[in-house]
Amino acid sequence: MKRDEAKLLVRRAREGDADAFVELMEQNKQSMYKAARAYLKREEDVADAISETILDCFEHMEELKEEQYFGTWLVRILINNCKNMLKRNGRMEYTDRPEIFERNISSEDEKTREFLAYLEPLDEDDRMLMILFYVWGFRTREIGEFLQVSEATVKSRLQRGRRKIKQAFFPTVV
Amino acid sequence: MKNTDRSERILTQELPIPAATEEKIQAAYDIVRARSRQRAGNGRANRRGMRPMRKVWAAGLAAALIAVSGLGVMAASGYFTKTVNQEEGNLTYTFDVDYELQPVEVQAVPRYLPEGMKEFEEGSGKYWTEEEYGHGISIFPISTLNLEAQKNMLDFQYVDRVEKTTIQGMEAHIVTYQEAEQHQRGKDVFLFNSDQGYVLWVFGDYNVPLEEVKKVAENLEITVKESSVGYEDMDEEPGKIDPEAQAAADAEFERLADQGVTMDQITKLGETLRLETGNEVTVEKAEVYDSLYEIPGYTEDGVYDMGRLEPWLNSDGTHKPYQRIYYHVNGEKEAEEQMQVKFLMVEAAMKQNIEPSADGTPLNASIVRMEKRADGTWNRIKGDYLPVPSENYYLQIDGGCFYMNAPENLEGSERAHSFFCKRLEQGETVTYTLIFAVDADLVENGQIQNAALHFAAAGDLLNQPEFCALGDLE
Repeated sequence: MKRDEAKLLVRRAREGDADAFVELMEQNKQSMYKAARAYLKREEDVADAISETILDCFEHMEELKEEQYFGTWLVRILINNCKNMLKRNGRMEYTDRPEIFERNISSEDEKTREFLAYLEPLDEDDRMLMILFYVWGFRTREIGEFLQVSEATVKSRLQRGRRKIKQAFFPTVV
Repeated sequence: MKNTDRSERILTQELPIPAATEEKIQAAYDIVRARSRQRAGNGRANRRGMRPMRKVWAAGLAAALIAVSGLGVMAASGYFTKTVNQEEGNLTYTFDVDYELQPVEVQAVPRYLPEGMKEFEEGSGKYWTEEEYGHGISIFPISTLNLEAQKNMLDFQYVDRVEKTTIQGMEAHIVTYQEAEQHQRGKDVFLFNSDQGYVLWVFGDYNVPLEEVKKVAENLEITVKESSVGYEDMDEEPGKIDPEAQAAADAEFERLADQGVTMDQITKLGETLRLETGNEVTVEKAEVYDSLYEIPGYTEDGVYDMGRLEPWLNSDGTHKPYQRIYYHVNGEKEAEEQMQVKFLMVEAAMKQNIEPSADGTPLNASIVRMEKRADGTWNRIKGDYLPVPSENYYLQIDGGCFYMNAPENLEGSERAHSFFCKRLEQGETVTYTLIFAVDADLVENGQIQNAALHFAAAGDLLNQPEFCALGDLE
């Protein structure tokens, strides 16, 4: 989607246009799904986190002042909801042991299985960084602002993330 | 396939969304459409007051809503409404700004400063004493324009306590931090003025008493005037980066960081390494000692900074243990252990083959930990640990040496910049001694294991991976 089209959709959604809002959510649905899957173990939690995010966004759309920040705003709400979902379920141990380690992925689709297995070597922060960079397409500067760290830190953590993945996938090379 | 291509393919490929999840998403859309119709019927003025009917699965959202929108936390009028979210050491201020009001410019000048404290540079807002570490106070005036640049959010970690009080008639928060002494964390005083549109942040470094920081905040002279800059004037994309150039720089950094070091880039003990610069260096001896005083020829004259060494020496010349902290990738402490330290004496010879520079030839070196990779090459490794900050242990900064025998540059800036340099004639060879403090886990059977020296004369570590082994590489 072109940047200007996205801005226009955000503006219309902010003015209360439900169709524009739904279109906006549809365009971000895949990214939301991947980010939620990277956080949450149970598919029903993923569904709840996304649904709540959709309602929260609509509820607070008029508080978004700048259209270009819609992406980071949406991700922030989604991540908050994922974290709250974990807290509500009393499962805060994800930092030390990411839930995807414990996930039973036998019934997953092959692509989903590959996606989850790929992120498995990473801790929570690095997983989210890879998601923000590759899935949401944020630039390192934007990710730095989002995570409140310097751009250099984002770059080095991205490199570390790639390296960890490489080590896990190609143990004979690294 | 390159790893980055693989990342891109796996992470960007479309995942099938299960039917049950899709159903819930569609149900959320139904609620959105229903609410939109309801709003249209009620008029926009009532929007904020309306609470939607939510399905059972959307219950329990209160915490997230408070974090995001600040419902019910604080009702302030004026330039902004502030939401405070404090949870498990994290403190977040979120500001809902009224963009109808023209932002202000705010200045804050301290009419009181602790004894000996002076402004570092006029207008900088940073005030220091002559003492070396942790004695500064900084004052940050934050307007709603500055808040906008921060995405209307101020975030703090490791918060221990937030004391709410009133200073100069303003709501004030005094924030102190967990394990402040050990980790040398400072303290903050925030003054919130939503009527006039600013926040004042007074930061006191770890050696400044909290009472002094409060006193500075109580005696600020504050000047407020309307800003000539509006929200609409803010640069939409400050510091825009050329994505192609960024990708190329990323790729090059990754390539250099990932490249292994082959054995022909690591010279064995006693062999001569010809540096890219043309000079030659040979590590002739590498010996580990328990006591500094056992090292032949050691004298205090060769110590770069006795202030760093002395507090860590026992009377018999052995090194006191220091406390090592391991950090998680997100910066949180993972573990702590006491680390014993030994001394490594290196005898090296440098031959000046090229025309000498006016500053002399740097003779110092740094220790680099190495690990063998599956393909037979070696990799530099850097542990995710540091000495505990409160112990002020600086003897091993970046693996560098703290001693060189017979130094020439002993005074002032020459000492600071060129202590480890010597002026050599072209063709001259100098044999000299360096001493390092080394963690005991680098030593096995009295020998340094899996570590090498990288000489300062060799240049950049990434681009010039030229090493001299200190012992066995296994």
